Amino acid sequence: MSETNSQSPKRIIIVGGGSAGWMTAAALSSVLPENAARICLVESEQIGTIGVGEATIPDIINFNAMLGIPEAEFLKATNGTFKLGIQFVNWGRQGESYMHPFGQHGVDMNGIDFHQYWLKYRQDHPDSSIEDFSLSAIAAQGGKFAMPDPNPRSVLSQLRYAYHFDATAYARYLRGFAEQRGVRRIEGKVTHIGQHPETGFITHIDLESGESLDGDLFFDCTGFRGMLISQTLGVSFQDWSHWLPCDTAQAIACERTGEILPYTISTAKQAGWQWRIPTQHRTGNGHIYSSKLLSDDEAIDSLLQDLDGPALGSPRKIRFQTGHRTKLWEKNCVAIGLSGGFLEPLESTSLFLIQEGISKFISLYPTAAMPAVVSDEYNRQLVKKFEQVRDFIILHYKATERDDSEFWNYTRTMDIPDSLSARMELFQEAGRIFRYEDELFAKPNWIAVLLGQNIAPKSVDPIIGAVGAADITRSLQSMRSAMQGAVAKMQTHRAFLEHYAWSGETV
Amino acid sequence: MATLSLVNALGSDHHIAQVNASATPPADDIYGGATSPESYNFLRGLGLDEPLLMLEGRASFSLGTHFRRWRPGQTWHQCHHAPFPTIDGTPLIHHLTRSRTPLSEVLISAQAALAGRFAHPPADPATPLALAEYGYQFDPLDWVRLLDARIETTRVERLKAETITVQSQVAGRTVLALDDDIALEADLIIDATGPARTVISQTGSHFIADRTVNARISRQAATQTGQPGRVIEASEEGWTLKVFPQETELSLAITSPAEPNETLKGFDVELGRVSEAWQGNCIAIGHAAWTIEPLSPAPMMLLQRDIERLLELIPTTAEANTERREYNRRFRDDVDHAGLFHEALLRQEGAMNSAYWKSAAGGEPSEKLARKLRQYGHRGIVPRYDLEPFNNEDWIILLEGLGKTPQDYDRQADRLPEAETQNQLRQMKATIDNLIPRMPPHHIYVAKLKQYLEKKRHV
Repeated sequence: MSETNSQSPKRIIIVGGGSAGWMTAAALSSVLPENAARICLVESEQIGTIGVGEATIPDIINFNAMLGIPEAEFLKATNGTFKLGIQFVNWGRQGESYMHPFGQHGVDMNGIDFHQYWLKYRQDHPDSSIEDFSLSAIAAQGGKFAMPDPNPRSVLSQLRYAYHFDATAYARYLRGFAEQRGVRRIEGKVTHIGQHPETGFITHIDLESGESLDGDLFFDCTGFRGMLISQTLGVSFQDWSHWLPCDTAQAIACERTGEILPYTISTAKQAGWQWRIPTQHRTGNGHIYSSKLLSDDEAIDSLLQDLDGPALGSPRKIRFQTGHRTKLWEKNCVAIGLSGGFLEPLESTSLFLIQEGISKFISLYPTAAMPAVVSDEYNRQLVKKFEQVRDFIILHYKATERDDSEFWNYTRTMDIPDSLSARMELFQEAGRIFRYEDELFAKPNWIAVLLGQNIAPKSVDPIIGAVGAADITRSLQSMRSAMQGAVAKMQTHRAFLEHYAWSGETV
Repeated sequence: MATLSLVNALGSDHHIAQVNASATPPADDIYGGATSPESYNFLRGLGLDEPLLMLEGRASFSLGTHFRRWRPGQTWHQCHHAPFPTIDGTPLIHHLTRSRTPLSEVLISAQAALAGRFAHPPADPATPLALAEYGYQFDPLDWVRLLDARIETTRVERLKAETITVQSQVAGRTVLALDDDIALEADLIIDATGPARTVISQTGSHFIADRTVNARISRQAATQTGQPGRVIEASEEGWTLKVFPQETELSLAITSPAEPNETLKGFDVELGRVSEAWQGNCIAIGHAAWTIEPLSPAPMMLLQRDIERLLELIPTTAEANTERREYNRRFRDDVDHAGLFHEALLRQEGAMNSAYWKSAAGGEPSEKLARKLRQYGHRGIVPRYDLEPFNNEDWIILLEGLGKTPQDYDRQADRLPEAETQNQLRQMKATIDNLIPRMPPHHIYVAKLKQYLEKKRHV
């Protein structure tokens, strides 16, 4: 097999820094055997990066663990905080809010999903909320945090968390990590991309400095421009803007004035929504909207009006198109991050999709010949992942009763993918959820959003009919009381952070 | 199984009747007499726990299916196995490819089956036996008897009739007639009439036939319980399956209906599936919905999935459009995905030039299977489709058994020096080799287990 080893790509060039570029560099330098390949990352300080991925989902913990990054060190370096879920405000109806927590609701019993017990319980307790049975939701609402307990019998084992952090600081941290492992960083702008005249494979990139870099394998991390995958290789784009009509964001940080919330807030607005992401010393904010229905000035006014502290700087405008490249790997080029596709960060999936792109690539690591059999499978898996995340995001726009603006009238009445419509109908009948095998969002995620946005099942599953109402009430009240007791003993989020990973920086 | 599942799951406000029609020919033998490890909890849920199956169901253990001379040079044990261990964080298959080590050497359940030995996998993950998984071998006649006795103790109404026919079909609602004159109406009718498809065939759902085979079944008593796994052996005419429940040997010979040798003749079985398993108020399960050859435990796996899918989607309205659509989508996926596994076994180059093998290797090749073969052949990757019945380990064992070795392996395997990899693999093999002789022969294990269970029962 040593002969085949010599065929692996020896010169890897990553074009573009930011989260995508440095996550790729860090992962490759960490998993590839020493001296297996020479990795160069080319980035230009003149070209800004887009930091929309500051809120994450629990999978980021696996990525950091794969690299062997100590959690406290990472949180200090990135001004990170813990995240137990997302609070959605004004989505189903104006004036309402719900929590989409990480982890599950309650405990499944006798092979029957917990939410079926809760749906029956609610028939006699109409004021009950399913959030009352989520440890993450109760802790989030109380501003508390604790580490999950690995003992499955402990109620704390139900806790799941992710992070909020400064994505620019994360890229900087990963840069240090990657450079320590031999990644060469080259400062410079790419002026030309060379291709093989017959195969069309990318052969080299020329820099403004006059330097030319030859490569066997190229990663396009150039953001929306897609310098390699789109401008050079001409891979087309699958546009989903008819389902997800927002196309612009205005982002700004502000001073943090209150407690550090252990959750993200997403507030639906006239023609889009606004995020609020608490890091240790400031709050990240952004207003995502449809530019066809809201002017930039109106969007900025709305953004600034809803900050909860003095603004730090001026809003930064980001234009985007929702969808993905029809091929995320073409010839010897792999598009990671925004160059491969974009889904608005409503469920904090931006860094997850980068992570998926990298981990699938590593699991399919090619020979230098870049056989189509490998890229074909990569593209199949990545496109499926984009489609699954897409459906979950569309759900938030479709499952609404809002009729107060053209934007909501459009999303409420638009046609949606068959895969989503079948799933919504199934839930509406008897609260049933069907999950695809390798789907990112699990049953509790779908249940939180469907119920949170007032998609009420017409009936409960008949199999719950055999369980007595008194038994259900006793079980659920016992669960709730155990969760409340566990949360009461937790530290506040801030106290936990100060003890565990306080950065010591100021604004 | 469906009756017991329904009566266990639904409250007493649901009336359940079971109709046994003596004119419907039994076809349980073509389920293949073996379950997969996934059936353990399902069977327990029906009240068929292991002590009952051993003491009253004449079950024995199954570590998989031994394929003997499937093609020239192709003999392997298609064993049940827990997820393969990783070495240095890289999947086992890449290290095996790198060091050219045969997979079967490091599979405890394959080696135990080859030696005719069995012991329950312990909970302690430190022993390689913990990675073995097992199902059961059984005689369907025994299990039907057990299930029947259990149903007798429930509130299920038992009806008997010579014939069941469809009396009327109005607006998608089927009404049955027992013995041509007693009308039987129901909100939901489960058609479990096997290949006769008595009800579903009258609802507008049509059978999509793949091909027809001939099956001949025989039973004979054995002086002791046989191997801890089924045996399949190929011949020019087709193949023969042998199943070894307690002190019995079941034999099922599958040939072509065009087979000229009259001594091999049994009854014809049309393979394929119905277009919609749920049509109107009728749901077909088991052989009424699909018929596939018992080359693997797929028939029992699919039957279990049919019942589980039914329980997940018990309708809440008369129309049940949403549940029906979802049921049929998953039904098609499940049957088609199980079919890929069998297609891989049957569609091979160098197949014998007889009526059975030509027919088995014919038809349109599946793109999904082609993708699996391409990816595995290239670098040991097995692409997964949604909720496939067979897991990664099943596929890797199958493809290795069929001699499809990956051309290359994951580069991450190179992080470990080759000598170290070989050392670890040698240790795995040596541990297994040392353990196997200490495991009891299958027949002795079954006998001792029964003695123990009997004693425990009377304490």
